[in-house]
Amino acid sequence: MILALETSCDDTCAAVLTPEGVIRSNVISSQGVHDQFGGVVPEVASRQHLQLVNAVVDDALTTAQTTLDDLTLVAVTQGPGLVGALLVGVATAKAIASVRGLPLAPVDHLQGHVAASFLPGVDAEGTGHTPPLEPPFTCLVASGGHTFLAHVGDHASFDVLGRTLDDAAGEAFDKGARLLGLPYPGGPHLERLAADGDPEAFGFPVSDQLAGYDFSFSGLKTALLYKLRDLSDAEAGARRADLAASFQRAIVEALARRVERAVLTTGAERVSIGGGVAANGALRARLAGVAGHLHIPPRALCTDNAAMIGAAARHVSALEPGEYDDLDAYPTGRRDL
Amino acid sequence: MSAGEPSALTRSAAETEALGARLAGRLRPGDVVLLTGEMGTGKTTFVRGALRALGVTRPVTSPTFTLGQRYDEATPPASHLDLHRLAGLDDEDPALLEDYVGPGRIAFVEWPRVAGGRLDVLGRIAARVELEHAGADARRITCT
Repeated sequence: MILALETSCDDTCAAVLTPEGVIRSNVISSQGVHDQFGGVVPEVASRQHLQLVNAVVDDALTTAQTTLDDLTLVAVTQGPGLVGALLVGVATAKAIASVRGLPLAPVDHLQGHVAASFLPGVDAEGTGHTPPLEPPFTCLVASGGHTFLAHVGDHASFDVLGRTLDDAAGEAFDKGARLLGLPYPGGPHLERLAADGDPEAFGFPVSDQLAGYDFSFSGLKTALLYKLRDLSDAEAGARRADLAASFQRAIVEALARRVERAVLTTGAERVSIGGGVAANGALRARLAGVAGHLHIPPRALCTDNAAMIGAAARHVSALEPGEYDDLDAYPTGRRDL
Repeated sequence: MSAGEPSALTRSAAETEALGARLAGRLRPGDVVLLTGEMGTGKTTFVRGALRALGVTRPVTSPTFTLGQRYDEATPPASHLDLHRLAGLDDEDPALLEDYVGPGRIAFVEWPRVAGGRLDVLGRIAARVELEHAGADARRITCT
């Protein structure tokens, strides 16, 4: 069995997978304590991970009906992320692997989001299961900290086609939500508000002037800010759902049009999505039909989770006991996006 | 943005970047630049211009999510921080800022208020840049 840990941000995650990559458990403990701050507070996150990690590992093993005795590999997110948070997972993984004399697979968090597509997905209704996706495919990863489009040619790596030049898509959701007076995290709140609004009510920029596959979202938040200033308080209040829907549409369009461009240019027949923004219903609906085949991970495999780390670990060269004593976390991309 | 004209009006993101590049020309290792201004005024745009002038060629993206980005390839090495999310540094590891601010590098700090006097200890406050909306794509940028 593979035990995987993921603690790069504010979710304490552990999962158990079979050596063949079948998920036996996928435990996610969202800390929740950060909402009052409007974002993740690094030191608070580290302390919460410390408090939660042992219980989360126990839960993952129990749910999988297995024990430490059955483990053959330990996997952990090495980076990128908040260093203090990552170190809790790395230290825990090292301790378990070392005591048990097991190999340890350090996994890149972004490779993990890509590897979520190596696990079963869901159909457009979000209910029925679809088979895992095999490379090659084109993958859009969009989260609070990262947004990029990649060509996935094999299980162990990916080539970045384009990336955000300023804000991540999830960050745009969070900042837009803040402007609209919605709580953190902004994505789910904004999506709920947008459900009652007209996405065509306001024309927000979708950074179409950018050539290639790069993204830009910083102008979008400014456009929303100006729109809110132009409107009277009463009108802005009355049209919040329209503003949210139009703002969401701009993010979704910017993402979808790059995917469309990639499909048209590279002839990619298969597309997958990953990262927290991939949980957005409007994005899922918009991308349906863009390519011959769209792989949609279940929402629990889009947001941060350890199952995707376990899926990626199957294709990583694991370190043997004695080789990982000095293993350290890295805060920003080892991959130069 | 000389001593005689601390305030400038920029009409585009490119002009804001150019202003950042001009400031970068007179920065030394150990300098800290504080940037204030509400969301969307171009703080990261200004820093992008400065980092380009210091030799950074890769994307200069928002540091909001990770709190900080290091650009060790810059000459001298530089950092870009966003402290907006921190209610205060009292609960934080004192080493948090030391990874980004210090004698050997230039640090650009957005939303520096929560850092209180910590930044003065780690580096020399070389400039305070205040950005304001001035209609459409225009920004008033004051550097003192």
